[in-house]
Amino acid sequence: MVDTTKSVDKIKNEDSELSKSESSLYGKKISINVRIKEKIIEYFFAANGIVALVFIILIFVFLFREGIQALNNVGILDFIYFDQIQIDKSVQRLYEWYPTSSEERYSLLPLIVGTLLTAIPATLISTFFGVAAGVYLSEISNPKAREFLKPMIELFASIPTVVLGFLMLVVGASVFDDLFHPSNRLNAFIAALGLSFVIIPIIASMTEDALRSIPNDLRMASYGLGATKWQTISRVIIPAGFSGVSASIILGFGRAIGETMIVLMAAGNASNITTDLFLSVRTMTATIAAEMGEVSQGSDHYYALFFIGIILFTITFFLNLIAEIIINKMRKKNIF
Amino acid sequence: MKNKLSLVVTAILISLVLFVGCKKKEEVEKSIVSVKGSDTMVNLSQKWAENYMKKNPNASIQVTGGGSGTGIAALLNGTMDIANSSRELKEKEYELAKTKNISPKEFKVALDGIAVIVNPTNTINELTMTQILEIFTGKITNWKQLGGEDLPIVLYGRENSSGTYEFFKEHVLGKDERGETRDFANTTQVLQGTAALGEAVARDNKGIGYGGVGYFAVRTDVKILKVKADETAEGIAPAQEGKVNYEAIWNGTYSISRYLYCYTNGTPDKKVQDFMDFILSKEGQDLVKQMEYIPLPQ
Repeated sequence: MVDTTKSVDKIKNEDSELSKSESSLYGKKISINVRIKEKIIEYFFAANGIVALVFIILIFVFLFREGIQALNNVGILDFIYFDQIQIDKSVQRLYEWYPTSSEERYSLLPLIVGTLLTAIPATLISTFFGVAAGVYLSEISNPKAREFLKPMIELFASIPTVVLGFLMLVVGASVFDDLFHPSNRLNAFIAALGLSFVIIPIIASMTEDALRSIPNDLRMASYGLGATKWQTISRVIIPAGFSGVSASIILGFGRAIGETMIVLMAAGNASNITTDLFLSVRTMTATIAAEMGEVSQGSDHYYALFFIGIILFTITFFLNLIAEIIINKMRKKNIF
Repeated sequence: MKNKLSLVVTAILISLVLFVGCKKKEEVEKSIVSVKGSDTMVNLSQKWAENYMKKNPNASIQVTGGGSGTGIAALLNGTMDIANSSRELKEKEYELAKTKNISPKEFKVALDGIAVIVNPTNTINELTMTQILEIFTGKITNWKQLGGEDLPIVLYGRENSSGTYEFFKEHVLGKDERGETRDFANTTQVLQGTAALGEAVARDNKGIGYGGVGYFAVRTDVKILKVKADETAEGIAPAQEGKVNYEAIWNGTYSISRYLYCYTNGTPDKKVQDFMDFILSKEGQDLVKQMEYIPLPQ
């Protein structure tokens, strides 16, 4: 990262030198033209940046405005439980997501449990394989292998998630079913496996970036003290790059929570409240995707779906924010 | 550079002018028919409307859902031309219509039949309506309780926006002692579409699901169960050897089936009558089959 900013500065300097020499060669008129052109290009890029920011703010405002209306008719407690009055007047407390029932139930508990039950295992699996792959790329592989492997891993991240979801649904679930006979063919674990295909490349690529930005002096010093390669990696490099690696894991977790298509297809979509990885679960994202299409606009159900959207947005926003802060800190630290 | 830029700008301007020009084509006076009602029938009704409008470019059919009750209410208020309904008009509604000077005319347009399916390896062949209810509300959780193998039951269902879901819930699950509708057990796995559901049951020897008879009749990788109206009744299969058992559905001996209706006000005027004729024609009834409903007896 550091190198690129430096080189950009260099190019800028060269450019301005170029325009200076141009102006001395061709006279004032051209230099004004060049300057105007440069200004226009500058404003163009600035405008694009601002537009992107404005859109994000607008999305947030819209989401919030729609979602908050859920609280008009559905109380904040209704999003947690529903007290069903039985025929003998006793009360049974239900934690169910059932907005289309004659007694509408809006508990988000099963959806949040479902989201965590897919996202956490996915992140654990991906951390193991992703960090290992990142360490290999940065520290062990020779440059030629890296040149081939890194783009391949990044290419992996570009597989459409609907394709991954379909593969897990048709192939993954069947193979897993034959081998382990889980209680549900489509379950949280199958979805987590599918999710890891998306998250491993994120973690691997960012881990590699983080480790590579560690100054070579550290490695040399470690070897100089007689450490082996493995000792250098485990006791010097990984601790030094720890913040970068943890940022990549946090980003991966955020992605796992926000991912829709894979969990919609592979998690089975039953709103179980469970810690059993081999049962079907339903995530927040899948609920929005499955129900938003047909819900009548302006109903409580409609606003409740937006309310889920707010929760999702908030979670991923803060996860990304934390990761961004860690990465920024790391950058500063590494400029010696 | 300058020339090129101005060229691009002129090109954009010209295309803009052309585009605006195109949009301002004069619209021909269209005859509008508005349809409202049953959510089960929305997709079917839309299909009819699409195909009818393709054939008659001057006609415009506007279809909205909202439920059978809302459709009928709109018809009685005189704001709709056609009310879609998945049930017959009630006595009360006929009386209300009389006071409003409206005489509803009934058209049977199609039938709805739902098959209950299991994996072909399942030893169960028939279930009573009560058993089906108890399976899908989560009261019966093991095939052993029904005389099958000692395996847990895995429920497969449809998303809550589907008409099949609505019909099954209304017709099979019904209402509990408190007068509230019974809900599917929350262990039910929600699948998008009949095809996905069939696929899931075909691959899961513990699974049970439901869906349009027309769709499952031709599939060999799932088993369609016979349904008994009650303990003593005979089990009726909605489909046999790859063919829909139309007789049983038409005469109502198969329990999970019903007629679908369209109601109009009095003898409809020409634009409405034309559309109704299309629905009842061979082409309209073919669309019924295509949408996984059961066509009328011909």
